[in-house]
Amino acid sequence: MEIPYTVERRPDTGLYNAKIGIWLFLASEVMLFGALFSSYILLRVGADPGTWPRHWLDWHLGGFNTIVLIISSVTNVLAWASLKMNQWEKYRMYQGITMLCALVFLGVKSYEYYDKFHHYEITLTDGRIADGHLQKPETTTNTVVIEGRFVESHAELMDPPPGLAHPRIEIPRSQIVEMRNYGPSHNNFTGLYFTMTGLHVLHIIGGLLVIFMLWGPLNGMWKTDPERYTNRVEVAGLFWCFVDLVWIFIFPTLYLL
Amino acid sequence: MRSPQHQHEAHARQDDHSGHTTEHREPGFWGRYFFSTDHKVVGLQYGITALLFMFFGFSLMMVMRWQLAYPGHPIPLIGHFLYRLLGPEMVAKDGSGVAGVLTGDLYNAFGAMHGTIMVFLAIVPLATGAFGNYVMPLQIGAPDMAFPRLNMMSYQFYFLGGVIMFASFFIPGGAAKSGWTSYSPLATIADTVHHPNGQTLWLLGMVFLITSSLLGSINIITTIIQLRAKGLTWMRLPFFVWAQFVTAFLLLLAFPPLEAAGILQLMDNSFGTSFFLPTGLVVSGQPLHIVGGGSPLLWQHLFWFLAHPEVYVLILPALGIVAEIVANNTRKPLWGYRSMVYGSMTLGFLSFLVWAHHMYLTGMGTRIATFFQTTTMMISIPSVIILTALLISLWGASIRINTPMLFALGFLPMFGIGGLTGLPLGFNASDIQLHDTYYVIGHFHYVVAPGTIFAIFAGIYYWYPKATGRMLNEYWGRVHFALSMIFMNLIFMPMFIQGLAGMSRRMYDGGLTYAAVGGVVGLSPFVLYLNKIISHAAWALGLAQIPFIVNFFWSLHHGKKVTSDNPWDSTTLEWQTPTPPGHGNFNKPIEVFRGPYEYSVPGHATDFTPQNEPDPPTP
Amino acid sequence: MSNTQNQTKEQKVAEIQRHVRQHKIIALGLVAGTVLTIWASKMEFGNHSINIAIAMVIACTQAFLIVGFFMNLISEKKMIYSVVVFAAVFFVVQMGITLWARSPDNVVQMR
Repeated sequence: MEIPYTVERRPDTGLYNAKIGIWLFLASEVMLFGALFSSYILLRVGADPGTWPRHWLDWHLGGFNTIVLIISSVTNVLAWASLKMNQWEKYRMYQGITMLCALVFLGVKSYEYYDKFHHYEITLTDGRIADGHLQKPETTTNTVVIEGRFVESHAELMDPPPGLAHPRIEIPRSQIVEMRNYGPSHNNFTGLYFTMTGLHVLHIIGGLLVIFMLWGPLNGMWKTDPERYTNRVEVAGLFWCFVDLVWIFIFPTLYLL
Repeated sequence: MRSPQHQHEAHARQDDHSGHTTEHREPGFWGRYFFSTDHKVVGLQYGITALLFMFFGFSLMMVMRWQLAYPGHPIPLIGHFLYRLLGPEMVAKDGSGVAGVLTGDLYNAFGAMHGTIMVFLAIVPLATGAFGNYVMPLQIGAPDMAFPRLNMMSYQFYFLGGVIMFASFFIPGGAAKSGWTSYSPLATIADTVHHPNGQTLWLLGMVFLITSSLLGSINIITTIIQLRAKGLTWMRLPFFVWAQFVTAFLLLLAFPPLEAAGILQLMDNSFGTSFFLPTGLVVSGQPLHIVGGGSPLLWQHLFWFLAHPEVYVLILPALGIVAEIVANNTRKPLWGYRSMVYGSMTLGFLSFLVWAHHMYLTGMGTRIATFFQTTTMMISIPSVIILTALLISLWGASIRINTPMLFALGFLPMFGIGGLTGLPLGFNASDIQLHDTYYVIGHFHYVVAPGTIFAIFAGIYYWYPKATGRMLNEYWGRVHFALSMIFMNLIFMPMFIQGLAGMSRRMYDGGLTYAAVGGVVGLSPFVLYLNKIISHAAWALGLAQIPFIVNFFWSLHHGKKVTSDNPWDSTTLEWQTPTPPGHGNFNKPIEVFRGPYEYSVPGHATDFTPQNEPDPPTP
Repeated sequence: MSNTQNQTKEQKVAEIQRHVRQHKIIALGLVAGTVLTIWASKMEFGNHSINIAIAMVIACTQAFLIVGFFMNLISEKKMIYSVVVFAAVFFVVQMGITLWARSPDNVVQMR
C-alpha cells in the first residue's frame, strides 16, 4: 500500500508530505527554543543589578563556531543542489564537508564545556575569592593548585576585564570554605548557557546522525528512487539550516551581550 | 477482533511506486499488534492503553475520596494492601494501629498523579491518539496516515512515558506530589532526600509524552492537508476532522514551552540550578543551599502557556465526536457548520492568549489582569457559538435515541454547565474568592468528565461496530448512561457549593482542619457533609462503569453482528469501508461529490446520501 | 524553486546553478554579519540596549537570509508560509506577554 504524495506533489498544495511535516516540526522547535530565549531574557532582566555576568564566554571560540556552522549550512544546501543536478560525487563531497564542520563544532563545544567544568570560584576563610582553572596533576588532598587570580571585587568577577594575568596559586584546602565550578549550577547564566547550548548540541548530533545515515548506510535509495532520496536530503537539510539559525541567535545573546 | 492486517483485499491490488509489486511478508504476532504502522492498530493501541490509564487514574481518585469523606480512617479492603505495597512512610496507621490511612504526602501524590494521568495519559491520548488516528484517515478517504512509521513511534513514546509515570509510584519517595501543575519551588523542595525522585520521573515522563504528542500532531496535520480524497474540499470535511486539525495545531505549538520549562525544572531538581528558585528560600527553618535568582512565576507562565490550550485540546475532539453523532441521529445537516468551523479556528487562536487567567492571584497588576480578562471573555464566544449550533441542530429533528446519542445529548448541558461556571473564574474580581477552591474543581470536571468523557463514551458506542463488526449491547449501554449521568452530577454539583463556601483544593483531610468549631469561623458541617455525598457518588460512578467494561469485552464475541458496513446509515466516509477496514482501508479509490451531512435531502429516495455517492438516490 | 514543470533539463540545471551562486554569496554575507556583530558588540554606546538592538537586527537579517534562501521559504508554497507565520506570532505572544507581565506597572508593589 502506497501513501500518496510521498514523492509526487499534491496538485492543490504543490507539496510532498515530508515537506509539510518538517516545517511543522520546525514550527514547534521555534516555540521550544523561543521559550528558552524568553526564559533567558526574563531571568536576565529580573536579576538584581550586578548579579548577571558578562564576558564569561570566549567570543573567539563562539565566533569560530558560528562561521563553521554557516559553512556547514551552505555546503548542505550545495549538496542537495548537486543531487538535483544528478552529481552524486559532488553531493558526497559537500555533505562530507557538512559533517566535518559539525564534528569541528562539537569538538570546540566539548573544549568549552571542559574548560567551564575545570574553572573554579573558590571562597576562602578570610573572605577572599580566588578564581582560576584547576591544575589537576599538581592538586593534592591538602592543596588545590589553580592558574588564576585573587578577585578584587564582586563586580570584577561578574565582568572580568580582558588580559588579566593568571599566575599559579596554591591554596591549602583548610582555607577553602567553598569551591564551585562554572558548571550549570554556578548561577542562572551558566545554567542557561549549558541548557540552551546543550539542547542545541543534542540537535546537532541528531541532525548529524540523520545526514550521515542518508549519506552512508541508507544511500541505496539513490539508485532505486532518486527523487525520494533527494527529498529526504532536502528535508534533513531544512532541519540542519534551522539548527544553524538557532545558533545565530545563541551566539550574540550568550557570548556578546 | 480480526486484525486489520489480515485483510488483504485492499492491499493486494496496489503496486509499489517503482513499478514492481513488493513481497508482502506476513507479519508475526509482534509485527501485527505491537509494531504495526497501520493507523487503525495504532488507534486501538492508544485506545486500550488510555482506557487502562483512565481506570487507574479513576481508582486513585476513589481512594482519595475515602480520605475526604472519612479523614483518619483506614481505607477498607485495600488499606492494608497499600500499606504492604508502599510502606509506612506513605501509608499510616490510625489510633488503634490499623494500617491504611493515607499520609498527607501520599494523598498529594495521588492527587498530582490523578490529574496528570487523566489529562496526559487518558483523555488526550483517547481524544487524539485513539479517535484521531482511527477515524480521521477513514473520514477523509485516505489509505493511512501520511507518516505510518512515525505514527507507530508516537504510540511507543506515549507508552514509555506512561510506564515512567506509573513506575514513579514505586520508587523511594513515591510519585510526584506537587500537583499536576508542578509549581516551583514546591516541585523542587517537596522531596530533597531522594534523587532521582517522583518529580524527576514526572518530568522525564512528560518529555516522552510531549515528544509523542508532537509526532502525532505533525502526522495528523499533514494527513488532513495532503491525503484528502478527490473532491473532498475543506468545507466538505466532517466537523470531527476540523476539530482534530485545530487540536493538532494547539498541541504542536503550545507543548514546546512546557517541554522547555520541564527541562529547566529538571535542571533545578537534579543539577543544582535555580531557574525557578528565588533567592532567600527557606525550607523547614533552614536557608536552602541554592544560588537563587530564579523566578517561580516563570514556571507558571511557561506551564500555563501550554495548559490553557491543553484544555481546548481536551474539549475540541469531544465536540467533534458529538457533532458527528448529533448529525447522524437527528437525520439533519448540522446547523451552522461554517460557524462551527470558523468558531473552532478562532477558539484555537484565542486559546494562546488567555493563559494568565490561571495566575490572577500571583500579584498581577490591573492592566495585565484586564488584558487576560478581556481575552478570556472573548474566547467564550466561539465556545458558545459551537455549543449553540449543536443545540439548534436538534431543533425540528426526529431524534433517534440510541446509546451514542444519549451520551451526546447528555454532553450538551453538561458542557454548558462547565462552560458557564467558568465565567466567574474568568473575571479577576470574582476569581479572588474562587481561585484554588473546590469551585474550580467542579468547573473543570464538568467540562472534562460529564463533558469530554461522555463524548468519548459516545464515540466508543458509535464506532465500535466499525472496528469490530458487532454492536455493543443497547440495554446495558443505556444503563451505563443513566447511572453515569446521575452520579457525575452528584459528584460535581456539590463542589460548587463547597467552593463558594471557601473550601480549598488539595486538602487531604477534606477541610476538617478548617471546620467551624467552637465559634471559630470556618467550613460548616453541611459543607463538610457534602464530602460524604460526593465520595459515595464517586464510588457509585465507579460501579456504574462495570456494565460498560463487561459490555465492551462481551460484545467482542457475542454482540449483535452488524448487517451492513454502515449500521447507523451515516453519510461520512468511514462507513464506506469493509468492516473492519482492511490494510489500505478502501476497496476502490474514493471520490467525494457532496458535503458531510446530506441527511433528509428533499427529493432523495433515502434519508441519507453518502459523501462518495455520485448520483443522488432517485425515488 | 520556481515552476520546473515546463523547463528542459538544461534550463533546470542552469537555474539550480544560478541558485548555487546565490547561496555562496549569501554564505559570505552571513560570515560578514557575524564579524560585524562581534565588532559592534565591542563598541560603547552609553546605553547597553543599543548594543542589544544592533545585535538583534544583524541576527534577524542573518535569519531572514537563512530561512528565505537556504531554506527556500521565499519561494515556498502558501501552506508552509502560513505555518511559519503562526509559529512566529505565537512565539512573539509568548515572549512578549511573559515579559510584559513582569514590568513594574503590572506587578502589585509590596509596601
